[in-house]
Amino acid sequence: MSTIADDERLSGEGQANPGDRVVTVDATIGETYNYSVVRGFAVMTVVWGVVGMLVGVVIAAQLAWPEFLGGISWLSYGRLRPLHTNAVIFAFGGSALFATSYYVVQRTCQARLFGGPLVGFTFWGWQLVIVLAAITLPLGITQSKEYAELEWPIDILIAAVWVAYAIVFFGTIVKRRVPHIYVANWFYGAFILTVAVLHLVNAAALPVSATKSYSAYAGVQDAMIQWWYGHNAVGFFLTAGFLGMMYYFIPKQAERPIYSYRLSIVHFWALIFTYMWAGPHHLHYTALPDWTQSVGMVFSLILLAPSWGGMINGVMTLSGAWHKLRTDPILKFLIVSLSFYGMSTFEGPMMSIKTVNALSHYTDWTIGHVHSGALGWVGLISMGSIYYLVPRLFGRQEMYSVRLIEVHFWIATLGIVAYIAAMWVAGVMQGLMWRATNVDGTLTYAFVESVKATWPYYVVRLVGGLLYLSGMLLMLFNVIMTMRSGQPVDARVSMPEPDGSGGTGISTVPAAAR
Amino acid sequence: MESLILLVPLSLVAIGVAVAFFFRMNASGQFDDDVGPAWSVLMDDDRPADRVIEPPGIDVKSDSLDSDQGAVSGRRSPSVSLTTDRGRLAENEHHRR
Repeated sequence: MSTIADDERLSGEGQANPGDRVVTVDATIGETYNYSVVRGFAVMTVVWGVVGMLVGVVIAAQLAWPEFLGGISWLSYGRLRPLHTNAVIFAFGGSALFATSYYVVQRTCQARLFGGPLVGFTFWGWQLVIVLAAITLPLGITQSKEYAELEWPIDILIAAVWVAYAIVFFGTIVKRRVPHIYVANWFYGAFILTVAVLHLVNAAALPVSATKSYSAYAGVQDAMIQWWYGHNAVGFFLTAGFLGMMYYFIPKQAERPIYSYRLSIVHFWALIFTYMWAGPHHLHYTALPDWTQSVGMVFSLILLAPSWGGMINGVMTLSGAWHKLRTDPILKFLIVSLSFYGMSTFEGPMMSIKTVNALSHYTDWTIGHVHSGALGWVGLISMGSIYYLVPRLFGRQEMYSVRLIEVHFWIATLGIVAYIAAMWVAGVMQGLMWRATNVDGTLTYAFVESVKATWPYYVVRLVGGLLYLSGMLLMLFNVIMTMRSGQPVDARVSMPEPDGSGGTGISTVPAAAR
Repeated sequence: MESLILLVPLSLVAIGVAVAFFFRMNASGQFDDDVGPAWSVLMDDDRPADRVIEPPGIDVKSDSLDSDQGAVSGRRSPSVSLTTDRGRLAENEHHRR
């Protein structure tokens, strides 16, 4: 089969060193990017998104109507809640990260994924982890560590998949055909390495049976390790990885270069150097030593600077192209996700201040904060990126319905606003009710009074969640229709220019042809 | 606080590795060009061809001009105005092919 590169070689254009050039081209004729694994993860992102958000809606309803599922223990709030968090973070978010990182690293390194069978192993291994989570968590098999509930055999599988992921990703970077490593890959790389370390340290446990183990740490030690893990999981899984997405898909969709490439490098290193130390802010006013809490608070405040630097860098990428926001719903997803990133990275440092935390801790304000980041930042940027990817993976110029993307965007945004506004009001109200005292020093309100007062906000939150879920169902429909009207295609590996910058070869071939 | 005896050195080592890696990469010239990489990502055209060519034996070659006319996902404004020299180069590159 002939390629653009062939023609280039025949016509002898722009060659620095003819000999080298021919060798390079010959070695790569017919090679395509591995789009099939990207397709798998992209589709599963949408599927797990629907599942995870559905479970979220169910437990939101349980908070308003605790017995609406008939009190079946498997479906009780305590068992479904970790299923919800695992499904949205690791199944939905994880699949989105796998899909986009595999796409970005291939396109920006101009090399097919390294690792052969390991690539397929990361896909099937990760899906198996998710299915095992969906089975064990409702059965009550858990390590009881937040965001790390899965028992030790599943933890070992996660570690194996993650090592394979690292080999595939960094192997691809090593075999890249362009000298520069694009900034998005730095973020993805940091995410992969750090999550590996976090998982290994936090999951250390002594097994006593196939379904039961005891953590290697106890008491406040365990709490410290847990929140070192927990906060860095937010920082590297839910932030760094998705920033990698931001730095690729926003410039691509806007057709504008990043506002400041230099700032993106500074953003990366500043984030890496400061994120590790912020975990103790989850343990204010506990048995943790005061100085540790203060260190956590100070570093959380410092984090505001790199976070906002990155947000501004992403938003300003649109300078001179703001009009595209009017007509391009994918760009709306990507840019509005950055506004939520900015909001929640401002809110987070504020909540980490000990005096603010005294009010906000243990209230629904925290839930609102988390969902402003999760629905707004992580959710919207993933959806925007998947909308960008799906037509390219299935040989179409655009999604089946661009109008439905627009509808999805507005439904999702309304849902987020309803959700987080309800939780803000509920959280501040709870905090104020809990701390209110009478003249004689007794508490003004019993706890149950604050629960009663929160009820309307739980219903509003459920409505917000339902809106967000229905947007996700629209996306599923749109993706299925795009798949049906297109066919899986793999793009040819593009040829680097003689000066090492990117090539422009765009041939696509049906995936079945290989 | 025994956990801190684990976490503080672990974090310090991680930071140390990151610092060492940063200086090594900086010395190797990774961060020297702070304009070009932003553009080269845009020059990598990842839009699918207008028509998918049937396999096998038939030339799989698509003209980037063809796919320029089709809309990308989202609507693409007809006049792509890349304003810098480098951008114009990219445009010319497209048309030359």
